Amino acid sequence: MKNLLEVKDLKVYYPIKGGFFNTVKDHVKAVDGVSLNIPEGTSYGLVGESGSGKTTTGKAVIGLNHITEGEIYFDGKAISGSGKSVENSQEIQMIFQDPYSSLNVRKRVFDIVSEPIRNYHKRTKNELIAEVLDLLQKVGLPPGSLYKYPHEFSGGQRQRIGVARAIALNPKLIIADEPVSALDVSVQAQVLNFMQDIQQELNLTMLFIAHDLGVVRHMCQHIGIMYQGRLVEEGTAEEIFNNPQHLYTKRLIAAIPDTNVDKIDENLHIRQSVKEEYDQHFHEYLDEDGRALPLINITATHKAALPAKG
Amino acid sequence: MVNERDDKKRLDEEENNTYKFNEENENNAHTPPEQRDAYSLDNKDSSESKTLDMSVKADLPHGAAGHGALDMKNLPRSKPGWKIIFEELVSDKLALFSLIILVIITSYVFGLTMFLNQAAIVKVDLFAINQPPNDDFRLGTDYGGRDIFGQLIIGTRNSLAIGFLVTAISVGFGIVYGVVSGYFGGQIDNGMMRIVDFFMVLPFLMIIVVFVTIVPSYDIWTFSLIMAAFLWTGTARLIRSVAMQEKELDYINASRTLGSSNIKIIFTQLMPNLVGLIIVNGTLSLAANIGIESGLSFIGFGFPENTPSLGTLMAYAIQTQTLQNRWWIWAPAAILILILMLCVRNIGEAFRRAGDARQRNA
Repeated sequence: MKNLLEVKDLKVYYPIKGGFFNTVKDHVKAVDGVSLNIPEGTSYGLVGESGSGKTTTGKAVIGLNHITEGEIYFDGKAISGSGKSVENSQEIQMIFQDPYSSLNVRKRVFDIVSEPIRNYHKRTKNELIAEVLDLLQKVGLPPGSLYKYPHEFSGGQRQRIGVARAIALNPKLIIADEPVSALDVSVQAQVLNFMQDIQQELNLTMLFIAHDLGVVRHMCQHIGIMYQGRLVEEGTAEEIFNNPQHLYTKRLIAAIPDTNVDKIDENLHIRQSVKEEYDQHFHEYLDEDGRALPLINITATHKAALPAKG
Repeated sequence: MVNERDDKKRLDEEENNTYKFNEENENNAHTPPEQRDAYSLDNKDSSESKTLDMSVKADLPHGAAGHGALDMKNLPRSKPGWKIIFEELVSDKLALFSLIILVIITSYVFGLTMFLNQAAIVKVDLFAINQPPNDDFRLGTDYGGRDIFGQLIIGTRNSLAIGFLVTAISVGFGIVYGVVSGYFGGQIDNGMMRIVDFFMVLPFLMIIVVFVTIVPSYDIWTFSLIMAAFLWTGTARLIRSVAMQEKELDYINASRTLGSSNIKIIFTQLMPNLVGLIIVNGTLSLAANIGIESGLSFIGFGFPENTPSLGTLMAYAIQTQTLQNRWWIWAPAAILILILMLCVRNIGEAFRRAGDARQRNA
């Protein structure tokens, strides 16, 4: 299968300025050498704690962030990465984390969803309305919401508006930046299932950014685990969940809540033993600067940042 | 044993029923029915039932276009902007009242000045000095025997015209300047703000005094321009600071990813979110600018006495004789200033609410 998106050794640094002349003293390494490939039509889950550079990676891919070093190829074309302008916006779209701030409160649903269409195509008012109605139907919103304002909707419905806007131009790649983390748990599954349906229907490729491993397991074929701006483990969903190699991954997986009441003690025990191991041995997984080690191949698809044996 | 279980079941059911009953009652009591379809998923407007609905429609023998056309007839109509503002004004009785008063005063003043002869009104008539209100002079005369009523009408027109002009020029320029500076940020912002700083350190009053002294004949236009040249900086700084906050929000990023150009984002995404601030700022500026003009005329550096304004009428009150004994010269102008400012403020409030869908009364 062809790779739709290839990220090669991506680095995004932010300068820390200080001193009398406001000179650059140091850099915050938000993303520090991330490489990943996403085959067409699949979902790639990027997981990590807050501040691990997941969102920055996603924003660099769509062109909202500058790139300090490294290359991003979308469909074979390089993305310049100045951070000034968004390229490929017909083919790459983004679903934002916060459904409250990502919709302009002064705009009606019609204006919001039709914005990308108006930017790229010439349409009459009636054609636009028909197209927007079609999109609303796809995301499961009633046609009556056409002239409503965002504040008249619940969080889940607002996120659906965001999705409708993102799929309006029939993009190839969608970057979903924690699309459900701002939503109520009862609505999360609803939005996720519906995103899966849309993905199958439109044959979308998805970069799915999340900090919830359960959500990623549900959505993605490939998973990358990020820690402090670097990938520490990468592989297919089964490999990550059945055979985690990196200590950080193990701890993340141990932290997934289990609804089985009988296993409470067992799970607690596992969690505590993983925590102990983490506390004692995690420094072995970092180099002297505190960065994660380079990735080593375990199988053809499975890579992890493990210390050299012995 | 069986009976016991049955009893328990019945009890449970009863409990459930009462619970449901209560819930329903509460829902009805707390949420008005027209709001419910937007928030709750479990009534007839919910997505699931709607998709079902659509599948039925899709079976009908017309194509996608026909399907769209069919739906379009049942859609709620979109409200034009002027109607939203109008409804908001009507729903706020105070604002409506203020608007009516302001319209009456403005049209009366502008209409009547067409028939008044300014030269005749400002002509000194020594036989009729300091007269209290009477049949010939409805609001009496000043120390030069000039008709106060005529001066009040022409003065209000001049003051209003200057207020509107100065506000339009200074706020209009300040908004565009501030939004551009705040949106682009970085070096552009840095450069543009240094220009603002330069204008702010210039002594505003001094330059206007010099201007008034060296320019032999100035009219409403030149006077407005020179005032506006110093008054746009405040608006620009205010709008810039809010634009900087606003551009960090995700909807601006979203617009960028959707392919909108910077100009489009500034004027169609950012500006509508600043409307409230712009209107409040514009309204306050309008009131303030009428005040500044009156103030300048009051200290003698606005219009000369042969071009009356509300400020020149107030200036007569500098003399204690006039202030104590001849109220008809200054009181009408003072009351008029008060009424104008209050009206402008009330209308501005209603406009602000109309611009923000969450605060609307109508």
